Amino acid sequence: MKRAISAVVVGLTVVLTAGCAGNAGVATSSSGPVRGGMITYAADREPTCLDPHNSGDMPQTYVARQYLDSLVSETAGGRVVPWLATGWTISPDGLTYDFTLKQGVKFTDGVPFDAAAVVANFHQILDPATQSSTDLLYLDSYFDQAIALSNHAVRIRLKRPYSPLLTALSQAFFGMESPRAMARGLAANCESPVGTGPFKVVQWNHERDVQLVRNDGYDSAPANARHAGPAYLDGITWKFLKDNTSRYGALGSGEADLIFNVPPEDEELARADQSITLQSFVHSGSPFSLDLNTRSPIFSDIRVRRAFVHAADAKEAVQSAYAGVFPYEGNILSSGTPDYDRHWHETLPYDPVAANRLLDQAGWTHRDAEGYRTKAGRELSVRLPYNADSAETPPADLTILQDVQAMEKRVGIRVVLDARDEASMNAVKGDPRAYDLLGNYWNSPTPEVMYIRFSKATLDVGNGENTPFTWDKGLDDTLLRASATTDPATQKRLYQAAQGILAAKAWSMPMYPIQTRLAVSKRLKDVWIEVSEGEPVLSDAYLSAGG
Amino acid sequence: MSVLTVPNAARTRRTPLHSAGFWAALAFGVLVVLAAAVPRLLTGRDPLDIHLDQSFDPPSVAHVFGTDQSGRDVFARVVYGAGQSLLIGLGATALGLAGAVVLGLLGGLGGRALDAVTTRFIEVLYAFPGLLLALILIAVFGNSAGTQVIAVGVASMPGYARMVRGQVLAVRGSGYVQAERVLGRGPARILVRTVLPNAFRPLAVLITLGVGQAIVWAAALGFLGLGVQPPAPEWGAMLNAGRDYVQQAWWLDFFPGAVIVLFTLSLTVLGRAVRAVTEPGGRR
Repeated sequence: MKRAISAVVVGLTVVLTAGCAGNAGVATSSSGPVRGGMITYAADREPTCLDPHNSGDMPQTYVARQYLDSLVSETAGGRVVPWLATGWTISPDGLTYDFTLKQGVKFTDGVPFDAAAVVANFHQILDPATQSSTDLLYLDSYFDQAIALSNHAVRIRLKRPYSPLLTALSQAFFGMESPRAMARGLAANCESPVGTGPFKVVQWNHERDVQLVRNDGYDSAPANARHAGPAYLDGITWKFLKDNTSRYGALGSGEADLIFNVPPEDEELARADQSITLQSFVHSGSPFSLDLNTRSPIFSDIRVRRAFVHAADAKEAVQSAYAGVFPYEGNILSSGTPDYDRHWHETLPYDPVAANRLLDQAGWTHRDAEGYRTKAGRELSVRLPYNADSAETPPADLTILQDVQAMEKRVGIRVVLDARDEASMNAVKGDPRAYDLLGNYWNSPTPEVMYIRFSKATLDVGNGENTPFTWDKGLDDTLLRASATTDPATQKRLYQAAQGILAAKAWSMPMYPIQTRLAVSKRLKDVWIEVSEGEPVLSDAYLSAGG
Repeated sequence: MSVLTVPNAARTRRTPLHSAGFWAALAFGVLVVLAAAVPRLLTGRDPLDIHLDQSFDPPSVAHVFGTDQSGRDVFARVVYGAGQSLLIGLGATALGLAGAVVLGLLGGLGGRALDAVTTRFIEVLYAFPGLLLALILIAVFGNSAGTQVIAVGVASMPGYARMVRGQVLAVRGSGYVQAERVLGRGPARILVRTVLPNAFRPLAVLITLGVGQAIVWAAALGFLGLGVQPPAPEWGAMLNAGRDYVQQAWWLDFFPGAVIVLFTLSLTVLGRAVRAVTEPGGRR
């Protein structure tokens, strides 16, 4: 359910320094970066596979950024800059991308990085055996083939023009992996993928940590890195501490040097803590939303879908549960996404009167003893399965779900909250009979995310990512035309029209954009968050001399 | 299972009716039973109704136990939670006892071979940590109040079963049972009229204590996120939900926790009183 991909938000990386400016307790680093030292990073969620080509969930991309390099990188201004590809040309018809590759780069298993390796990566991504979800949905409708033109030149041919391609490739989900390592098969590659990145995977101790050590031969930092050459740190213990309280406590006790996802309920404490720095990044793409399954007998009626969205005060629920730390988002896109149109923010506002009217019109006119609406003897009841694991459904999300449940009850809709384990949630996802509502989000650096989430192509892939189980020809055409053009004005007009179509469909009740929120010990310097997916970058980080 | 052993200190020379503690425990016990049976008598608020503009209100005249993250009244939730907790406590104890009676009677009356088998079975169950056994059952059958009853009931079964077996053996070999045999009474009549009543008298105390124990176990499972699911009010689940906010809203954990402690304490005091009244040695 909690799936997602990346993010670009121009100027949305906010660095909040806790407390006041002066901090006498921490040594200053006037001497500059220092080499050496191990750090511990505490993550809230554990990846299911360390190869981000497989599946494609956020915990994969966060850790993969530490050992994989991509072809290109994205700057805070939304510009695509060289990384493993030093340059590229795009044909006038938008169908051919020719990349020139950096020379002298080797994967950490000794295999040279060259055009054949790039081709092998695209083959692996599109191979059904890889079970890719994220990468597949970015490429499937567009990708034709990858051809090695020479040792260090590679061509990507597309079936149709795809202007968001470079932005998409900047994500660690498209990190380049060693062909020899990939040839071991998915299971082995999941355990220890091999890249050209600043660190390499030593061991994955399941349910505990991933041990990473520095790649001493690293010399392929992206153009927007803060330094070239090997990382300063000797290594990273990438630890999994899903309990919010324990994770935040680990930072205070010195057990961790930085943690992912400061719990919103600890925000005030964290801000007051002089020994840490807070960094946050608001993802673009599709915000966390409750998607309405249009194949469910109840939500097949657009009046009931609209009534459901009108009945819940989503803005108040988000502000209350996330203590104002996470902003409310009422559009199908998050506000930082390119070509976001504020006009479609909150098109179905909280309006219980409208909700009641729509439900009456839809024929749900009777009430049972508990006050829930009925039609022909059937109760207006919808199922909302959620992952009972607190790392997947954090306390604030659970509060939102309960608040929505209570608000819907007021107009006569019963929302059944159905706590499930991970395996059972995976089974739910692709099954239109298994849910009426499902939480979902897709972090993405491009408005193309609308096509990924709601197109016929995604529905046909059948991996459950089209959670409302529907599509619209007008929407598909609009989005395909948008990705085919390189004219910014036309693209903007089309992407904004698509947001309007989606707002009218009521396939989704948007809530809030996902954030990357780091709390970093002040002895650890130069940690930064990249913008394609909000990945923490640790290749420039170092421990200050006083630490 | 330490709760199954009534310490000597429990014995008192005064009758329970002279103890203020007994009356306080009785009053609190009655209050909880009342809350479970007719919650509306104690609160007019809906335990599930949210007021987002009143989230995290500290205890006040309007909300004596404060409000939670959704502005729900914690007092109403504690009151309505009594029903769930008591249901699980009583249900689990009843189930545990029913299983224990079968096992205990088989062991105590079934002959040497059957006794060996049931005793080994009870020992295996006993060796298994009760909470772990409950966790396994919940993992297999899923989260619900029903599963909680089964899990806690099965986990408490071996303790009761050993007691029943021991009592049955003791009563079976007693002089008055032998006397009845000599008088020519049939085994069925002896079992029903003599063995069972005498074997079960000491269990009355255990049942009272066992309900408290079962409630604590159910709360523990609720605290681990198992059993009754939010937002249903259940004391253990409330403790679990409040844990994330303990730094900013102490009342979310304090009041359900205090009620669990006080109710279990009350049941212990009442159990001791029952023992004092029923056991001959208890009224010295």
